[in-house]
Amino acid sequence: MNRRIARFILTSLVGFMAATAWAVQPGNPAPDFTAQDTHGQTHTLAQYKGKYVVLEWHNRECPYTHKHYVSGNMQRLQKEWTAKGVVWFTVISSAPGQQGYMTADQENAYLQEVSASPTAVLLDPTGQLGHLYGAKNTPHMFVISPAGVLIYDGAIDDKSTADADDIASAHNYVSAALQEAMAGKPVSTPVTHPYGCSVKYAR
Amino acid sequence: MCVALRRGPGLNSDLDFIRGGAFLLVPFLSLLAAPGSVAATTQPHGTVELIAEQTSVQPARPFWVGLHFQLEKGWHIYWTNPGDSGEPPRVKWNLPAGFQAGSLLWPIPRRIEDHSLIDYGYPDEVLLPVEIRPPASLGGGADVPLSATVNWLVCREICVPGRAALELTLPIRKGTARPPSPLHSLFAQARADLPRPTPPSWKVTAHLDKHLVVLNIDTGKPETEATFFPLEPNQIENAAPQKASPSSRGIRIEMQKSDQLLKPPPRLSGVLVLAAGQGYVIEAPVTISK
Repeated sequence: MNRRIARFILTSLVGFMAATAWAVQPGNPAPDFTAQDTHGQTHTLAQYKGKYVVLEWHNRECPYTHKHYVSGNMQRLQKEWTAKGVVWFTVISSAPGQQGYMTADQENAYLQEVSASPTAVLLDPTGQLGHLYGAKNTPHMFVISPAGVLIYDGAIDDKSTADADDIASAHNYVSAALQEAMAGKPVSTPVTHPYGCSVKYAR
Repeated sequence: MCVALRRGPGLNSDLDFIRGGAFLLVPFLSLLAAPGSVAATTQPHGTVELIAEQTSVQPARPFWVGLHFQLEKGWHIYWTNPGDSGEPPRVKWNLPAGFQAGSLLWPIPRRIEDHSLIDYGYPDEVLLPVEIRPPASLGGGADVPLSATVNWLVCREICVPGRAALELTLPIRKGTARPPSPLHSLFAQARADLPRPTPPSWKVTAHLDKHLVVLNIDTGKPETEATFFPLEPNQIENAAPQKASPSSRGIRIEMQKSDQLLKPPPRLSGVLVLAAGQGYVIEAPVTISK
């Protein structure tokens, strides 16, 4: 059999099993996915085994997302953690016609405009990736260990407001999870209640 | 399903009265209103007003004020647990010395569909009541200014944060007479829509298995419909349908357990709404099976 087809079937199977065999829950394997970025490149989770992966659900027009970009907080986090070898995927699951939906060109222009530097922005207009992870909000954050295990699922920090003034005093759960995991410690807060706008999935 | 705020004929006529009278509508400004009147702010997609149930204040006699949200059609604000997205309104009080404010109280919410998710909140209109407790002695005759800074989020497809500084001034009246304001029936309705304690004869228990959270409510009589609103996030999948099974002695509700529930809680807290629209505060001990 054609090797590419065989691999395709295998990855689909693995993805399917990951999606059904385990709840998307810290401690369980993070479901594999395949998604395209704004430069037309395809990424799978499996190809980043050995690295920490952060997933950041994004909608630039959502006041809660805006809070973390207008303040430069999200850009700082992206810069800090990608410099430490973390793969940072910003994910857009807004359906066409819904708030936050972006074409690849629009998103690339936006990244430049706000000086954002995630590893890549994954475009998920069908909401497949969002539903696979149960992403509910923008921003909703996930952290995956080098072994492919989900180690954090929840809010970006503990100040569930749209007010940028709250960032300075907030405890950032994503940074805390990465710091603890990199120090070989268990993540002390593996789940929080994410806050923000609803992800604007297709209705 | 429940109704957050039922409109009775009295309520409508009261609103007409206010609109025809000293109703102040000042965008983005706080203001000192005339005694007994209201301070309001109009913001995108609605109005919020700080209103009082009575027209004056007496020493040591608690009274009700409230945040009255009137939203454009289809827009909603949130319950104390907002569900899958959003955030509840928050208030910070600035009161004269000796005055104390209770917590915001939450009339029974509704399930609101939001892009395949479920929010818990209030569409169109709601009054969130707060009890104010004056001190035992009040200085001679001065008016009492009550100030509140309010933050909220209003959503319909998209979300817009709101913020306002509201002020309401009431005169001091030392006698026993305490004439209610025309808003009295609005408060009466909001209080009727608050969840009440479960009757002592009820037996309410919760059970967790691998996938389900099951709430058993024994009211001693047949119940036809029930909806549960969890007080804490990450316990049930809000968007999954709740399966209510009536029995001769109550009702049983099956809910999908949240993937984010890593440790079973010792108690399941929330609000139960029965067919007639009455809400009850639920504090059910939880048993577990694998």
